Amino acid sequence: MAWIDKKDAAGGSASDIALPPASMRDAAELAVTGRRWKRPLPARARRRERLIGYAYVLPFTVFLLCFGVAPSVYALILSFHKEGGSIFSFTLAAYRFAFADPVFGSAVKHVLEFAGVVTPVALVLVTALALLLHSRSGSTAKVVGLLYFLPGAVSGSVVVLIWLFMLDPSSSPFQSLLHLMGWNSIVDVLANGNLIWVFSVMFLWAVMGGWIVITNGALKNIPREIDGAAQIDGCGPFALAFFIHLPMIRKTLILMSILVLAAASQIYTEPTVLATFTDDTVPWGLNQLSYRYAFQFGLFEAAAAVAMMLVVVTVVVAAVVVWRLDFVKDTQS
Amino acid sequence: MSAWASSALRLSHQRSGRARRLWVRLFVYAVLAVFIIYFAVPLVFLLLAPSQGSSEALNAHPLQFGSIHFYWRAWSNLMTYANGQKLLLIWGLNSLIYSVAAVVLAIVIGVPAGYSIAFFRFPGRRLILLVTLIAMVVPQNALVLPLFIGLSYLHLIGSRWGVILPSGFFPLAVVLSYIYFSTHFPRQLLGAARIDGCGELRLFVRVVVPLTKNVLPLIAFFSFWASWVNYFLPSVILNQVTTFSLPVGIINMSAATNAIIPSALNGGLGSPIGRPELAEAGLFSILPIIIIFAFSQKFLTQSPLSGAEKT
Amino acid sequence: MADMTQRTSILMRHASVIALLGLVVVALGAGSASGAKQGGNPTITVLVDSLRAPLFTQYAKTHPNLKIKVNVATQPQILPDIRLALKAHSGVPDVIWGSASPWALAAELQIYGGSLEKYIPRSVQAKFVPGSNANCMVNGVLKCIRNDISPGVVWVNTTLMKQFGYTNPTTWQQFEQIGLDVAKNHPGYTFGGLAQWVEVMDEYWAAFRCPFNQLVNFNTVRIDLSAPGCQHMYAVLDPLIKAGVLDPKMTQLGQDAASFAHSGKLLMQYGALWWGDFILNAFYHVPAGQYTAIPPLSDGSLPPVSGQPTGGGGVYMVYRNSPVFAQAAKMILSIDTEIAGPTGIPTRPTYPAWGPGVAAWTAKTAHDSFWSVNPVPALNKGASEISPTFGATRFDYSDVYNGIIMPGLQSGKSLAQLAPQAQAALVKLAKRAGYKVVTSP
Repeated sequence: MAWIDKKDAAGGSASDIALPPASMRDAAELAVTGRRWKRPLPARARRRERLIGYAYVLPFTVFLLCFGVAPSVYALILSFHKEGGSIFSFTLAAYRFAFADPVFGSAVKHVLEFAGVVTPVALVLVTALALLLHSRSGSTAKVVGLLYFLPGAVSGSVVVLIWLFMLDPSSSPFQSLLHLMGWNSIVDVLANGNLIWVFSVMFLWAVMGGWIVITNGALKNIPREIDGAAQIDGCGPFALAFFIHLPMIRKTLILMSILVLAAASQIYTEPTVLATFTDDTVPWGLNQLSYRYAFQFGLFEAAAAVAMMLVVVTVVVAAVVVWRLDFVKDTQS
Repeated sequence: MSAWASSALRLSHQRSGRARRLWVRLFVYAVLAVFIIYFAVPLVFLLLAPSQGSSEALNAHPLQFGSIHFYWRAWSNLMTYANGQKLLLIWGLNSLIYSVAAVVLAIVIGVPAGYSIAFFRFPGRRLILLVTLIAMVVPQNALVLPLFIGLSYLHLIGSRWGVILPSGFFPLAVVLSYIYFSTHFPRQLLGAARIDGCGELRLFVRVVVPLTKNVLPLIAFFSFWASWVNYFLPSVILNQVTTFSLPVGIINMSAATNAIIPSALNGGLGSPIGRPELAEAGLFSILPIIIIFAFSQKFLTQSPLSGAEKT
Repeated sequence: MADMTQRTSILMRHASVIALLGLVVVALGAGSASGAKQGGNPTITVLVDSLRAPLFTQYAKTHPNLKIKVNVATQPQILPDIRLALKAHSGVPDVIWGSASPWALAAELQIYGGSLEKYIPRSVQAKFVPGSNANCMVNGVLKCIRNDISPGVVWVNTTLMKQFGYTNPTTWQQFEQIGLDVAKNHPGYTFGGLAQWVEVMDEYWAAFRCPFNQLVNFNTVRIDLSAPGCQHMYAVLDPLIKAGVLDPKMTQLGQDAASFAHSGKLLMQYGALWWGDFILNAFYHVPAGQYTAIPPLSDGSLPPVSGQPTGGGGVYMVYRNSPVFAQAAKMILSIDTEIAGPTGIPTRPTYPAWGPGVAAWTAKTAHDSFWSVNPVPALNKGASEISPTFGATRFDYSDVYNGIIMPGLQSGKSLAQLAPQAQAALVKLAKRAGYKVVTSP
């Protein structure tokens, strides 16, 4: 579509490139031989392509191996390791320990409920807000975007301070809202049944802004000409957003859903923040449980087991999403 | 007003169209405003908190403004903390070093990788992408022990490099640049440039890099931010107060004071660090993010591929 | 095509140069990092929180023949740090500032602490406030020394007491009578909240000698929530909770507690030694000149004991495999017992565990006009009667408090009703932590 009207970088006219290359293969062929429509690709060119590809991806692969793969494999092996045994020991004791823990069941339930609630909500809200922001260009969008993002920049004890005040009905600016819910003291707010909502509010507050910025950035990459073409076809603003823009930022949305799901199922900061001023140190989520096993009990094997369980669930869901929605397939807009 | 809105203006029926448009605009503003309140009110609290001046006043309504004078007093309390070492500034400088290093590493290592996975067919390319995605979802808790052991083996515990080196692994940079390259990047350019006899390296430097203008600021910004707010791994690796990053330093400082929980565990009554000081330290720690964000916005608003095909 | 291959090889060369540079950078960084090895002067590595760091820096100044490296981490971070260091077999500090929370302390004693008997003989141990080092004894061997303690005393509003015509209680049963009378005749005045901090419950369990974490030896714990002491506790507290005098829905350290106390409605409150300075004064801002402390109450005719001593401060411990154990042990004793100097005992936040330092520390409080009556004698009594049934066990019992007791109390159940469930949960926790559980002493 859009490419057809433009001159290419080499200065040739549009008619020289009547059809865009249908695949990477054709593009490579074009690059190597300077000729179109000729098959097959010479072996030397294929090898060259491979070598160059490896060269550019090499530094990252080294870091991936050192800081991503190696520690993860270590954790995986550790989860099957017998405490005090040899390196080659294999046992399910760590997993059994976790399953036998009375807190484990409630932690799993909490994580499922929380991730199940917060991931779709985050997806919908982030997409909607990014689209809305995108429709308001100029300085409004910039300032509002910054405002949405700033909560993510606050960390540590400052977050504790903020929520200490926001959640306590006797000191919160949202007092009227809390009283409306029938919550008159912080004990009411933090009653067990309410925690999912409290954590959702805290989690979304910190996490949404970053994704709004990323999604907005992806939206900005959509060529303006497409908007114009859609307008000519009589496309209204909502239809434009849903049917044109959304599919074009598909990969970003997929990425977001995977990473938000992972962050939600691995919830750690929010319950820990709360524990600082409520002294309730019962692990609420699985990540907290893993931390407790590792650092309070020194049972690193059990900690690794819980972490692996978390990873497996997230990876399974992510794999389904990625393969079904062709994250890895090349797309041409 | 944006392009689509003005075209919509021309196209729609005069009266009902204008009314509908007004409703749409109001709706958009209303939704944005609700969320502005949600995100901003806690930050406004943070902004106003140092103006109260003492914990007693903080027991009053949190959005009340006290006096400008207390901002200065809180600042001087922060500067005199721990024998006037101006630790907050030192921590800020450390955070800057760690974050800038993280940005450089993330871009230099990540962008070529995304480019490579997007355009070059080599065996293992989908595997690398997959492994990258998986690595992004492994909980950090599980990785602390092996990372600690590895860094300890390299004698990097306690060293700044122990923080900088792991931050070079920023998979989001690869994924974001992969998405960008595979979705929005014009392949014809590569083909056309190769026809001209352009070598690969020159192709990358002269053609590809200038066109990453739209994704580079995003990657830079997010790697900066991720490094800026990172607490857990740096807290385990760093043990000298003068090497602390801002999050580590502020948590160490507030854990030793009565800012959050009044308790004898947390320090003498004479400790100058209280809630106003903690809030002000928090504001100090957000400031660079605001600046960087504003800076990168300049680049993010350029229309995509402008000039790329028109040269 | 030839120049294509040439360009490829140039590229590969570029890539390998970059990789090489990277390795060099890493090696340089590794080389410049502060390594664990040192020759010549032995280094004592210390891992403490930022409040204690100046104590050690000062010690280093006055002992120039020693090299002391002061590392800083928050107190809750110290146990994770040493676990990691022990796993990596590298970078284990020689001295740590041990935890205040009983289960973290127990873990530290199990994996880290070494015997100090050789450097802190019994004659010196005897000078510490009696009972203050009890939780540092592992099967009769001293493995840490306590810096400060915080047993419980009762804080009373003397003005209100006089106004209502009450005399200061000396037993828990009198405490209960006053509370019930207040509920009937002076509604609105209470003994404060129970929610939020497990340390509050700790004070009561220990004060009644109710064995919920009594250490028989390092691996055996006695848990019996139906013991006579516990029964007396339920008999005192349950009526008060029912009458609303002790409120399970009000926090102790939240805004609601602060405004409540600030408005002058707090008649009495059982709290740690430091409760007065840090909470009543600095946080609640109670009216000046009205409050003081009275000595711990006795359960019937039994001698009074005060609440758990681990709610404040921390301990110093030396790594059992430290190559500089002797110097480290001498150092922590010196720092812990130093009375004079810029880092001496009077500058510390709370009541010292070192007996000879008590007078110096309490001097300020004795002359503080904020208190209606000098509370120091009561504080001293509280410090000297530390409960024998409270042990530093390896399991985190706040699970039971926040998961069973508080929700139960908030929904209207009584402590006596919740006791069996709490007992079962505690036993389970203890067993999972590797303890043998007994019910009789």
